[in-house]
Amino acid sequence: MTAAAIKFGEFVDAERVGNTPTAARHSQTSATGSIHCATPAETGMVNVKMKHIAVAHATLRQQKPTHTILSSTPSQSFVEIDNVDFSYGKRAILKGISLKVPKGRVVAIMGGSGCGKTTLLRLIGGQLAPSKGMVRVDGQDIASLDRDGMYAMRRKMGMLFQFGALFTDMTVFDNIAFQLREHTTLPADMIRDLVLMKLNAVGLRGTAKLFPAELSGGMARRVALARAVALDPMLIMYDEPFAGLDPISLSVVGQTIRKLNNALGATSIVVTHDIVESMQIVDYLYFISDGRIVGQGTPDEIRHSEEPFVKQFVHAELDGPVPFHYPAGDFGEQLGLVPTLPASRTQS
Amino acid sequence: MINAIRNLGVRGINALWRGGSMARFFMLILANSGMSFRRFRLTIREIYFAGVMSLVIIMVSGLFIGMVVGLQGFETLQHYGAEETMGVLVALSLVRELGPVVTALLFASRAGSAITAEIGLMKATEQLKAMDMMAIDPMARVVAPRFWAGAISMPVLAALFSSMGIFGGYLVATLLVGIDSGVFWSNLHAAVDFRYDVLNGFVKSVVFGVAISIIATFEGFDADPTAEGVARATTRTVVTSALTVLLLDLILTGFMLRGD
Ligand SMILES: Nc1ncnc2c1ncn2[C@@H]1O[C@H](COP(=O)(O)OP(=O)(O)OP(=O)(O)O)[C@@H](O)[C@H]1O
Ligand SMILES: [Mg+2]
Repeated sequence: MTAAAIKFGEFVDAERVGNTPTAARHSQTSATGSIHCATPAETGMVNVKMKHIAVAHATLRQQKPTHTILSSTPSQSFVEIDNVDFSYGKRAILKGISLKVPKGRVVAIMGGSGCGKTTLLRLIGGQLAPSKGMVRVDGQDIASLDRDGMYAMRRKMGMLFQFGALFTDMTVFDNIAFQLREHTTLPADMIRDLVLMKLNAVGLRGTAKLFPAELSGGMARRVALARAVALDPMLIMYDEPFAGLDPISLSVVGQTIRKLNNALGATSIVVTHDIVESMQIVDYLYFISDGRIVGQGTPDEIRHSEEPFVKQFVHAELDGPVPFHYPAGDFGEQLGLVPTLPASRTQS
Repeated sequence: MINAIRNLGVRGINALWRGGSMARFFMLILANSGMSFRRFRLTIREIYFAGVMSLVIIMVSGLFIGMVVGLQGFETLQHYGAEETMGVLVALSLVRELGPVVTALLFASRAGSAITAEIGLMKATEQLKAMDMMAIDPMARVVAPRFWAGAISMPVLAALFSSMGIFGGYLVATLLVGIDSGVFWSNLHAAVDFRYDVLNGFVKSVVFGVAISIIATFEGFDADPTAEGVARATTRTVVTSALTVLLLDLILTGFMLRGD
């Protein structure tokens, strides 16, 4: 107990310094935690542990680069996309998209397959540059950042990739610890606690020692989610977080996204097809079709929207403005079924 | 005919272009090498995968090639009654040529292809993009340690190859042919010059190691992000490395020969 006490003493100071919402929240948790604990000894241990984690969190937030100059300007939107065009080669993907993601909110971006949702996230993350318009994150024009500025910005972001993109040569544990080890100087036992907490949040603490190849698709996705939030980012982008999940994990993941956003005081963007789940957890929705925003609103507004596209999406109607097909020529013609050349067909 | 010439021209320009990209890639690697040395454990890990895992094939090949050179040398040398200089023949051919060149060819197909496949697969599965998104430069974290691991492993492996080869020659000489072991070693000692033979061989192996490592990492990083693209990149690594090593060997040998 003496060792623990010394540790405790060390942390009191640190905690006072780390006066962040996260740290405060955790000391609250420890207070409630002690009510439930049976013996005083146990209470002490739990307290120490919670303090320990609180400090880790505080350190994380402190170690985030305070590099941004413009971030102090009181901008309501954390992400602001202003009249952005983007094309792959000649194929225009986004045509004059404008949208805002207010600080602290969870916003869904919905739209048919291939309409450019992933592309939009790439633009926000600075991995692609718009051909026209501006992408602003935390008040800064992403395109104007140099490499160091960009990396400083990205340390405030977490991204769940559509296909997970877990590091296949590392265990699940190391995957989640990766950024903590690269970007912080936290001691190994703190990293361990943080990683286990993140894993626990997605219900996969038991998989820490497995390699990504040993996980199912849905498990890998949840691990990727835990990794995306490992550094307690200020902006979390989820690309299809619900794909390949069973109904239970789907709802758990949905709740986790919401809770994480509130707990971290973060801002979240969820790209998804899943209208039912997203209506329950998000504050605002944008609908993209053919490179444009075709509908937006709070879940309530969306439910009662008369916008044809939104209606089709919400009620999953097959007929409507959403094109199911990637642009292509006439199918009948391609199959040779068009009755324009019956003579030549009978000849051959 | 015109088409054939045009084809040749296009290929020539493509090859030149690729060469230029590789040179730039090399500069990028050097610029991003800080982490490979500051956190040398990253490089050590890659040395384990590239170098240590190649040990068996390199050492066994060295032993066999040394024995073969010994046997062939004995065949020829005994016509002149010079079979006692067998050790010299074995040692010189290994240290000057076979050691660096054969090791490089084996290394390219064993470790080089693995490096390409690994980096290519990381690219295809968006792991490199994910890392970049985490504000960690894949060039510094993934590419540079693998490059240095290759560049460091190659000379060591070549030295091991040559040593095993000489040992193989020694086995053939003493056990099969019946040359006195003292005679074998003293002849070898007298004939092999440190600066001229050993050092030049070492320089070759360093150059080959750097070349193979650039090619392997570049091809992986440049691969089309598909299964097919990675497969093609892996093949290209082996072919390009082999040709480059042989060409470089020719050039280096030309510079190194004393001509006496
Ligand atoms: N690297 C690329 N090169 C060329 N075209 C691309 C590339 N990536 C995507 N595209 C095209 O851009 C369009 C938008 O792709 P994106 O991945 O953003 O779609 P998405 O909305 O995320 O679709 P999904 O819901 O199926 O994931 C697609 O039609 C695709 O054909
Ligand atoms: Mg997508």
